[in-house]
Amino acid sequence: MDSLIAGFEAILTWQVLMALVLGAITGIVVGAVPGLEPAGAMAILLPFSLQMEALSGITLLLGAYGGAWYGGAIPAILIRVPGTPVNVLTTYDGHPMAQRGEAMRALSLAYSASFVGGVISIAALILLAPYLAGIASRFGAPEYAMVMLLATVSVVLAHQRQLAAAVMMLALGMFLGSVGFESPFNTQRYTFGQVWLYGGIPLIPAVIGLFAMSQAFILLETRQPRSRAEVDLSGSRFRGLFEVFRYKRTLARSGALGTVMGVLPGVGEFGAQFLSYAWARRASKTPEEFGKGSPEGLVASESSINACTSTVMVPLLALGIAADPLMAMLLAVFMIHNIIPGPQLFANNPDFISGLYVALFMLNVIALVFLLFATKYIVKLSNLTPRVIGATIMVLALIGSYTQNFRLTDALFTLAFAVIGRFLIRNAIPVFPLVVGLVLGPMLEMRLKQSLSLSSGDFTIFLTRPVAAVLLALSVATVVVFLWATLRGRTTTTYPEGGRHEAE
Amino acid sequence: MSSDPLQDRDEGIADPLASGLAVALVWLFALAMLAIAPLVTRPQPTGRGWYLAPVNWPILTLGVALLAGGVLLWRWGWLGRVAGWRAFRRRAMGAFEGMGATLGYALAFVLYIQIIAWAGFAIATVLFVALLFWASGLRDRTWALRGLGLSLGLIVIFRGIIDIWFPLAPLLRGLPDPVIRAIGGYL
Repeated sequence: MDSLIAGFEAILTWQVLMALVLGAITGIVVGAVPGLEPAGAMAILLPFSLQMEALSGITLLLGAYGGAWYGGAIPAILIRVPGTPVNVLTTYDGHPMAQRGEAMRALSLAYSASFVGGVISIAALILLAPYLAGIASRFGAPEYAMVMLLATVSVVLAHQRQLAAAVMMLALGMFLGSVGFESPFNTQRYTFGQVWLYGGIPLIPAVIGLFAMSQAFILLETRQPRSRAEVDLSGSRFRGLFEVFRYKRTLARSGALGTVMGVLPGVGEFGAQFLSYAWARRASKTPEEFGKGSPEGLVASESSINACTSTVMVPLLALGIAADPLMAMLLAVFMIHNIIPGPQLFANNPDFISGLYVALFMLNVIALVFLLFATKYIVKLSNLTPRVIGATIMVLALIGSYTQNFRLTDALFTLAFAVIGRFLIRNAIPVFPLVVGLVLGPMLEMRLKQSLSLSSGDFTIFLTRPVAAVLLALSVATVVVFLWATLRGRTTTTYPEGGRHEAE
Repeated sequence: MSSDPLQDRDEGIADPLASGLAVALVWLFALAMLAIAPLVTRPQPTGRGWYLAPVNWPILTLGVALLAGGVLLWRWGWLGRVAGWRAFRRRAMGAFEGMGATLGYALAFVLYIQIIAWAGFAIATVLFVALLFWASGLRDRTWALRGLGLSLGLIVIFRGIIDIWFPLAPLLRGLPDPVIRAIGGYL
């Protein structure tokens, strides 16, 4: 109780509250505009968050991250275009509801399902993170190396249809992470004698380029909005707010699934929503309504998406491992403020941790209240001319790159990654693994070297230490289960009706 | 509207032959980096464990990238044989579709950086936004005014409110002191 009060005290300053509100509104707006993604919003806000105090900076990014999933439901329901990629399944049931004149009901149902999912996720974070941190305090280099191996396996397997491309980009990212000074000998690698490469490939310009400016290039070439929102928004905005509790089992199931999937690096919202939607349909008394405007389907997809938003922080807070680009940005804010995530964080900064929990809860409250009253105005953002958004992002990207070190040349790094990102996106090559590799690569290399130094080069150190062995076994089991499921999927095909038929 | 919501995300759907060419370029980059690895990393100090050698990690990661890319290239070659050489060449070059415009915007961005250094953030931003609007096809008077409004909004937010520091540009050093005092913070 004391730590909860301390948490409230920590966030009840105007800087933190302002950062929370600004972040949440930015996230909601970004989510509501098709073509913009939370990673881009976070990338642009990142340099500003670095100038703030630790909790303010982190709440600004968290606001943008969490708010985007709420906002993404708006175009998904109204114009059948997912605001963020993870809102795909929201279109299945949300849009048919809007078409039959229940847009406001669908929206408020989506908001409240997201809210419940978010609250479940915060509860899980509060329970899981200290527990995992307790275990992690006994971790050594081999255990950390195996956790990172598990993270890389999860990230790769999350790109089910582009496995080889994901492996290639992850490995390339890990290679790029090795540019600059290396330890333990402090020699240079791949710097070609260029001073600007001594510090390695800078993460922030890379992230802004790959996720924000590359999108700006695309938007500048987009002639019209994806689709114009002209829907009837009459009806009570509170109708769906309490209706969500008619689907308690679906909520609990999807919330739990989202929570678990959120902990797995790289799997997150995508995996959670597809699994929870499929499970909800199977368990439903009216499975035939799924895809045709089923409120239950809408609840399943939205609650699972938001149930990931807090538990994705578990590996970061407990182990200090940023297993996806969004968490990498949060890690950058942690490090700049000398807050070292990991087991010691819970012992050394209990007020900060409590403040973070309260901030996450407040974020959900702010997003819900803001959306209930401002949806009609946010809808108009879907009609913004994409080229105007693109031009705005270009200027924001310049400011974002410049303000980190107040060097205009940093913007050239951003530009290089933006052009590369545009080329990769154009050709459907995933860019997320590249950034994950850039973040995880140096850490994994260091932990592997430390582990092998402990064992004088003997690889069995990963098998003789029980926790490391379990983590390695988990990685192997994950790959085996994935391969088994893939091979099984090749011999059978699932049809929308839920029946399974032998493939011809 | 199509029945597949993913179809709206046209950037996520690419011709496999064009993707293959993009993979080939990434693969060649990885191969080149691997080839020069011994030249751009220091040799292993004597008497230290082999596992600490600076060259290990680049070799391991680039090797994995080449193997994974090789799988994709093998599939690319197979698709190419099915499509026939002429169709293969035409469709593969689709990898660069839209890159001309992208490079144009990239050049504009480089100019923007140069103009900021010479004329300051405000003037450079007004010019840059106007150029982007014009280049992207938003060319009439209404759009010109909207572009100016957008630029002024960004200048007020970032220079006036957030107060992001930029060095005094050479072009502005000749302005009279009262002008600098009045609006210098925005320029």
